[in-house]
Amino acid sequence: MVVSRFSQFVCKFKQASRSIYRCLIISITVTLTPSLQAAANPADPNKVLRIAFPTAESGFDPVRVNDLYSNTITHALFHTLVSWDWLAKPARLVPYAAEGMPEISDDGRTYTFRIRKGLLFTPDAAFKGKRRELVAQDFAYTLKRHADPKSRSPQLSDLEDKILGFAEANRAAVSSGRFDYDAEIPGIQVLDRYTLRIKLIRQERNFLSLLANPYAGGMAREVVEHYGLEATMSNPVGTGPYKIEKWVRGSKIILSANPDFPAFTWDFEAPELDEADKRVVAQMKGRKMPQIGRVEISIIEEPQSAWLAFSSKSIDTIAVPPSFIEKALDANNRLLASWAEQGVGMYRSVEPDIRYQFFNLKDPVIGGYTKEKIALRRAIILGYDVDEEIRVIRKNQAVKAEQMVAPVIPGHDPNYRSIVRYDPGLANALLDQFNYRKGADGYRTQPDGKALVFTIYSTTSSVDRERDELWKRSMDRIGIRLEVKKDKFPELLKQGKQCAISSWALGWTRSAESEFVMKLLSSKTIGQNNYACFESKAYDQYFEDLKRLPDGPERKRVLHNMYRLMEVYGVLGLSSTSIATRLHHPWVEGYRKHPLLLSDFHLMDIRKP
Amino acid sequence: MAAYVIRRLWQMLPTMAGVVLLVFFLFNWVGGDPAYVLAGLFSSQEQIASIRKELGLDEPMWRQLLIFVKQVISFDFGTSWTTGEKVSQIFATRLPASLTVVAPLLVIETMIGVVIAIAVSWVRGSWIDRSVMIVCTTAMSISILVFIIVGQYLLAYRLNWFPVQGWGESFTTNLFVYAPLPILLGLMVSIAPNTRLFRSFILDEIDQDYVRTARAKGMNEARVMFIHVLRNALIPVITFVISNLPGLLLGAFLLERFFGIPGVGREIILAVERSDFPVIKAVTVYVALATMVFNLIGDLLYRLADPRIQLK
Repeated sequence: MVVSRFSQFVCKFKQASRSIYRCLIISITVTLTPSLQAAANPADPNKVLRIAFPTAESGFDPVRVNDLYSNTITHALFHTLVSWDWLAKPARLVPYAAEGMPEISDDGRTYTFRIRKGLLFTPDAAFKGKRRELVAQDFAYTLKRHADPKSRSPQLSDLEDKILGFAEANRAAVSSGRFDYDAEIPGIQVLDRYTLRIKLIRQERNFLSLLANPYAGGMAREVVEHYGLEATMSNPVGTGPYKIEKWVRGSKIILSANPDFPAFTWDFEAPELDEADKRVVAQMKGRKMPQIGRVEISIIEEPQSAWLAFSSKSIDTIAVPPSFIEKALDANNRLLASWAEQGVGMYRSVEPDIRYQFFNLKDPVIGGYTKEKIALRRAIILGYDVDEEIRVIRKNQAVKAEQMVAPVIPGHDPNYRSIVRYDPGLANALLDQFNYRKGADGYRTQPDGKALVFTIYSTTSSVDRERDELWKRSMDRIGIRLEVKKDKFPELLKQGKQCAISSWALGWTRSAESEFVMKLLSSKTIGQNNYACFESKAYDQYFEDLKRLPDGPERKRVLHNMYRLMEVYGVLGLSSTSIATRLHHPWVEGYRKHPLLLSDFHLMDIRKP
Repeated sequence: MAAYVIRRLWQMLPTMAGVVLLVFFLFNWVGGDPAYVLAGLFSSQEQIASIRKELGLDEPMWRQLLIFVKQVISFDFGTSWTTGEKVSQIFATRLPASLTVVAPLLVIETMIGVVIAIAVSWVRGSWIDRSVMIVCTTAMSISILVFIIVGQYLLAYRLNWFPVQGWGESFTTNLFVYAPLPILLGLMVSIAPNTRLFRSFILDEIDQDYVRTARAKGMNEARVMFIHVLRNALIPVITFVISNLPGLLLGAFLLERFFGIPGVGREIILAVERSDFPVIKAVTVYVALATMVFNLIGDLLYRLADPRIQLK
């Protein structure tokens, strides 16, 4: 994204004082001469950003990591072909390591990328003293690594049903025990040093957004072979704006600016900006970037420790932990005067996530497609007090979810209203109508007279405990006896994939497009992510349409129909989407958060004391 | 003595075998399947099967057990399933941080505990003794979490006497800048039970016949306490301290977590959360082994403390 605009930015900057001729010379020189690029990076080593992660990272091999915080770092270390525009709403893809957006064939199945020249990997022993340029082969290699079973890539399911020959290559490696990186995969073709062609099995309108993920960053094969599979986790070598300077696992990550990363001018614009973003534009426009020369990330797991670290100015920014929200905001969600007086800035944003409770349609008690089973599930959903969950458990730092697609995700329709509301009266009436009779103890039985026990599963986390209590109170109101079963997360995953869990709360985050979240209920993903084990030909057909249809009223109608099917069958009880409150000290400039762009250190600045 | 040590070392083998079997079957039957964690929420059964194969989880039980035994014998537990880091490296890099906090804590809490216990035993039954016991009982009834949360807020944030959290790169910085507050809070938690325990050890000795005899012979009270009573009371104190030593390997999870100390305790909790079996297995085996070795050292120390003790 940034790199692709570099020449243009430099030109604009120079126009005021120099001729167009000189400008062209500079842009050509900067593109082709690595040494000049190195000199161009204006990052100041004395500008240090100190932040905290609430969870430990697992490593920095983009193909293998699967957690938000490790991905945030890998995003800073590696170039992806495309990335997200910093300001555009809804989110918009722009070229990053690619020279421009790819050429897409008429049938929508072939993407041809031209890689920018002159992007250099940070020096490493794996390169034996030579400078190494990022080339098309590096992106092909990364994609192939996902197909290698030894990589244990968590992203395999994202790619295997899309790239031509990908699943076959994976299966062949599983059976032979060896992945041949020199063998061609029909869907991944390197046409020349700087040209990569990706062929898809079928048209996939959202394929490009997958390539914006850090896991698609260009990796040098020499590095992985030099360090070996396991040690690549701790020896990431990329071309991104930062490199690892020091890493104390689970405690501290120190990034320093990559001197070879090409400079650019902060020149982002968007047609509709809110007040917070207007302030960012006013503050940052025209600055030579990156500015921050060093990023110190501490792993601070305890909310109190993180909050006190921010309050004592030991860290520069914080995503306010829910348990400390009252120390930051007043009852109207405005920043407390005590903070405002110190010049502390606030950035509140709706997060790209959604929480829901699934109901297993294969469960012997609540599952099934008969009217009385559907009525039971719908009554349960109507009877659960989502508003209280938002008010008490989420401390009003969430908004009620009306649809499966979160508000900041492309495809979200702000005008859509769910037919599901918290209404215990209606829930009771529905249960009465379908002969779920109340006994002397106040609890209902099934229509055939058997005991009715609704079982939910949860982990031992404190939030889950609070939700269990709320579920108990909610179900008592409609006369349904609730049983809560506790288990470890991996065990719940295992049972869930086998359709053996009646109901469990899960979440979905950072989905770049509606299609990815709607996949949750496709019958093809039973055993994968369709934990409700919902099977509907109508839904499946809509899902196929969704993959094909461009933005527009037809696509919107399909999404509405899918939401309605989910509501009518009582498959998911949608809960909420979180609102994050982030504070930053006054010396942090240009601070904002993008819903999908994980690493943003190169887009902010620090005012030196 | 040598025969005794050899016999005790020999006896460790069946104990270790029992530990290995117990750990192996517990993790295979009770522990969650790590392949599901590694594959993520949206993985297919084929992917999970593939990961299980890569981790060797699809091998027959006897073969997995054999691999585990080999790992125990060679002290090579392979690499962490989630981070790819060598398990030995995890311990080598996390243990110093844990020891920087826990080792001084153990030494100081024992010394202070013994001193206070002697002092209150000296004036046993007096208002000072009763007051100290009331304070100890009250302190014991307060959760460690309260000490940490209040201590961090008050001493670090409000009074600014210590850093709120963090860990440096040099041992001296860590010991004198970052570790003092965790150590202080650890002491607040541990001194009370130690004092009560050590006091009971001393009082047990004070009522013995040999103490009465020493007093009857005209020995002054200080000599009775420090030469006769303390020497004998040291044996259960040594037992107590030695039994706590394997805990050094486990670090102090809560202190490490609140103060951002990159120690073993945090690592173990992370490993449990991620079902990272190589790390959990290694910890269990290391701690079992350390317990046995420290018990042996404790027995040898008894003889140093009291030459009358015969090791058989």
